[in-house]
Amino acid sequence: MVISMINLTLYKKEMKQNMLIFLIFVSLTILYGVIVSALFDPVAEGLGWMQIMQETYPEMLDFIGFNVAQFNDYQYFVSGYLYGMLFILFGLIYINILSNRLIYRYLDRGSIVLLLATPNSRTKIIITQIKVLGTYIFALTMSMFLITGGFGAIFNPAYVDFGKLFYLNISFCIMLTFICSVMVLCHCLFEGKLAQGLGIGLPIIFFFMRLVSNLGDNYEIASYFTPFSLFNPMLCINYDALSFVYNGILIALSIVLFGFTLFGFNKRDLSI
Amino acid sequence: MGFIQYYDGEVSIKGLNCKTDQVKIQRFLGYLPGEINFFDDMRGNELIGLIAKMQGLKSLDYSKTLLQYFELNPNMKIKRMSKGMKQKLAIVIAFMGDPDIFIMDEPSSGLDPLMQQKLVNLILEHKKRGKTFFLSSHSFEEVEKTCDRILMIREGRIINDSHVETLKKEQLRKYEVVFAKREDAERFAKQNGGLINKDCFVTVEVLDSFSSLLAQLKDFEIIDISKKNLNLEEIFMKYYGD
Repeated sequence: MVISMINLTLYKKEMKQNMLIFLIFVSLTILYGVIVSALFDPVAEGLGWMQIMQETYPEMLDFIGFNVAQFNDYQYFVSGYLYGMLFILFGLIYINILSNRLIYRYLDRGSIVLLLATPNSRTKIIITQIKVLGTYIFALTMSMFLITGGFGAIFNPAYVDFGKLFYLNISFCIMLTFICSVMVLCHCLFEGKLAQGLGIGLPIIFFFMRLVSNLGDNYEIASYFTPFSLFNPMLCINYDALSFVYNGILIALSIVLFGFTLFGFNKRDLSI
Repeated sequence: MGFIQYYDGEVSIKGLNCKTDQVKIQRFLGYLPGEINFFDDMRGNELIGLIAKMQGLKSLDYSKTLLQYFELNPNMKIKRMSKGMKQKLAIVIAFMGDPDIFIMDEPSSGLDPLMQQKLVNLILEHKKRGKTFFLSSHSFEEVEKTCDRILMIREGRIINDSHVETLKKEQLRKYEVVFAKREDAERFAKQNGGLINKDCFVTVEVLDSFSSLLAQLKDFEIIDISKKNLNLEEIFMKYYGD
């Protein structure tokens, strides 16, 4: 079903052409994954420098998304240091680069007409491009899972819970897919700088809203204006029922936005 | 092609609706865009392979023949290709599926005169085989050589729809008359709406028969009369120049 909705030739070409960027981001993930995994020391005597920082400047660390609830739990440790800010930023930048390369650039330059001058519908072409994005988002989050899980197992095998890490990364994948749907929608509906600006601007605004909402009760209202609130690593690690609800909401919103994208893309005038 | 939405009327090719049957139409259509914007990261042969597969072509033989015909080496990155090379690549892509109908926007743009002639020959060869070409061009020579019927469009509306020969026959009735005296030239030009080019040369347009021109000239001392051949460009200017 999914195969028939995409053009396999185009899919393979795009997968091949975007492999290098994927490998660069996986390398970055490995770099940070190794560092954070190596820093985890569940039996450390006294406070580590990060604990000292967290106790001294909690608001600042909250603001930049470094928030570790338990320093002797690998899952909390990893999610606090990587999934609060770093991996989210990696994901945002990566999706934006991909969406630019796979959709915005083709529409802006007009090269999309070359693809549409073949016997393939607009829907099929755009679904193929979205499928490439989806594949790479899944691959990136699974790399994150394997890297954090793998290095954790090397350094502290007794503390790694692969099931929890897997669910954390699946939830993260769903979050990134939603962000992807926002970017793709902007790139398909709008033109020129507006498309590019909204494509990266909206997710960045969402991201900073999340950071602001971390600052405490006074700023909690910001959490209602960012979809990043629907990705809570702590809830995921504890398999909290609310995380399943959040994931369901994100999936539903993504489907709706991709639906708007298909509709808008089919109605859009193209360069000739 | 389905690239632009239309809000009034209907567009169809071979009875197929351009809005709803776009995929079916593309099976027998070759398209050459006016602005060549390829995927710069690819090599020419990779692009040909990609589009051929997306078109469902089983063989690349004809594309190879076309590449040889246009003397194009496709084994280089598209971003390193010149405008002419990109144009040739686009022409190869438009022709390689051997479609029944071609839509071409400025097909000879960026080509050197030799390649322009080769393209004209290729179009004529395909026309002989029963193919149909919709050609949008500002090159009057190209239009004269390849087209049977011309539509002139101004501000989105058709202002002329004629066959090339009819258009030429209707319009190619200008003569250059050389008078012996300057004052005769001026008088004739004033009486008959002619245009004095230089000294005693007057260009005059004949609306009815040549004999009426001769009748008008009988009172003047004439040195020479010659037919002035108008090309399509001048005909075009008649419609557009104001």
